Amino acid sequence: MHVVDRRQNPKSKSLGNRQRFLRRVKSHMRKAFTDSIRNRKIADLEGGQEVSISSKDLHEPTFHHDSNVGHRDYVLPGNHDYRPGDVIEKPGGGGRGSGASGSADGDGEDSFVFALTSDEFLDLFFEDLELPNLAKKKLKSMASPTWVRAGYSVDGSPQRLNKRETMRRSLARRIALKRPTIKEVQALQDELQEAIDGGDAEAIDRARKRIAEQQARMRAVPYLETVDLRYSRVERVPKPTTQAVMFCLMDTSASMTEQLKDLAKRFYMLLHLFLKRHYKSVELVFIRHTYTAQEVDEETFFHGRETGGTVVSSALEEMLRVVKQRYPLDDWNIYAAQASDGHNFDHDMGLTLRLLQQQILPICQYYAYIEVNDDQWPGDSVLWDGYLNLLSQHANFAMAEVNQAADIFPVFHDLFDGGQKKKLTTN
Amino acid sequence: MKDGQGFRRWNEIDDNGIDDMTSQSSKLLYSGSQWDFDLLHRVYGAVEEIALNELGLDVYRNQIEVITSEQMLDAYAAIGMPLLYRHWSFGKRFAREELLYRKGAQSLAYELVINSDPCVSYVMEENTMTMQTLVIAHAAFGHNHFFKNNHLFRQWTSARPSSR
Repeated sequence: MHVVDRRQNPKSKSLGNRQRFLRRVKSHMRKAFTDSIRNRKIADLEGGQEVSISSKDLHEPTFHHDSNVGHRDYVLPGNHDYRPGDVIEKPGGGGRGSGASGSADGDGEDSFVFALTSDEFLDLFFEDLELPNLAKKKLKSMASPTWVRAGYSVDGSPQRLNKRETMRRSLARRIALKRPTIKEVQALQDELQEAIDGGDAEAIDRARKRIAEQQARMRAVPYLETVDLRYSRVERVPKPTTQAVMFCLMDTSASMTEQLKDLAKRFYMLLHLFLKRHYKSVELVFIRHTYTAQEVDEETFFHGRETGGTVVSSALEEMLRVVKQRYPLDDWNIYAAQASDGHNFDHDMGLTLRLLQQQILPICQYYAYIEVNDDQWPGDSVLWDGYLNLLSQHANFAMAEVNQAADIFPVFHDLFDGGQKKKLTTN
Repeated sequence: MKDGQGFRRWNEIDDNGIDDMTSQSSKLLYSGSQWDFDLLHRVYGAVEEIALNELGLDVYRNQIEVITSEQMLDAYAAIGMPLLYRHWSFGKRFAREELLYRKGAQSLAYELVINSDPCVSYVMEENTMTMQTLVIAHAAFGHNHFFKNNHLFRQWTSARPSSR
């Protein structure tokens, strides 16, 4: 007896199959997904997701006997209606078809439910999102090269030997040089045996001669030769990436209640997740502001508890300072997302709009403003009113409002919808 | 194992110096639910003793493979075949089985045994020692004997009863 520990074997052997399956049901998944997305919380992103799709298109056709025709014998246990030897009528008449028959394997279900891993879920969620206007300003030098297949070569390392191409050439050469097959030689030998049995001296001689001839040819033309060998070739290709930086500006003033901050943070978490997954080389700059602004790290940005008054222009100035210091305009694509409850000191509005209009918007590829609000009437905040004018003048400016956690997904989707910039005045 | 003869015989072998791990509990093959490879060998020996000498079973060689529940799900999706072509329907089956298993709606099969020589039986790492023993007795000897001696299997497998 032999005990083998297979637990070390590579996991998820059926990953390929799973991917095929997901590809097949993608359109259904997307539909089921958008239906349910409004009810989701960000925290849901952590775990896997359950998706329920119609099983109609997952049906696998099977061959089976038509129950309406043919003669069939069954052994059935019998009950109080039937006794041994009874003949049971065939169900229904002709032309019944297989109208409302259940699924072939017996467990009829309306929908097929399965769980997506969080990776698969995020892939689906971020699927057609992208950073708009990502111009290739400069190829990043640290771009990692990738290996791509590049045809075949006549030499290479043994593990790259391409058996199919090699055998193809071997076969062609053997045919061209008329190398006899083993079968042909065998046939000649049979012929010889026949001749020996027949006692025909001339035929024996002829057969022997032909066999010797063929065997010599077989030796002269080898089955496989060095000229046949072909190796798969791979080449290094530099993969261009674009440099982009995303500025996350968040209002953390006292007017932002805990709940509003939470909404804003959720939005940025989503943005963060999106950029990290889809743009490996995108840098993130976190700026939070009260009456003064400061660049902070990720940790402080999401978990900090600082509070104070509100001066929006301070954040814009801080952003300009960071741009000037670290992100030369020639090399970088600049993006910004600002989240606020819409409050600002009145005397600061002029400066804020001026900064945006004259300095920030001209250098930004895209600027998104998200207003987090717990009331139901949009458009009565200072910032919202002020920014409305910008909307018509700048194509790279967008604004949207988030009232509750459920809005975040759709708003995020609209703001980064495949480069088709939509201007949301209200939702 | 019903009359305890298997145990007795095994104990005799034990006394002859094949690893006797727990001398104080030498009446038992194992205690508790934990299994390890030594125990598997030990139990296999005891089961083999009964199967071959007492019941007179005629079996292929045995190969026992330890797998995880995920690998069992993989095997499910591939209808128990160790290798299969790629197809979306296997992915579908896997997704279905996995969800049912994770939710506790169904447990996994205790045994999966392949009709080949050597006869391959899978035991799952999550199972208790008693379960492993049952799988070894049922699959590695019961099914195995059937595989080797069934008349209908002669057509496609090398099923041939050993001449006795």
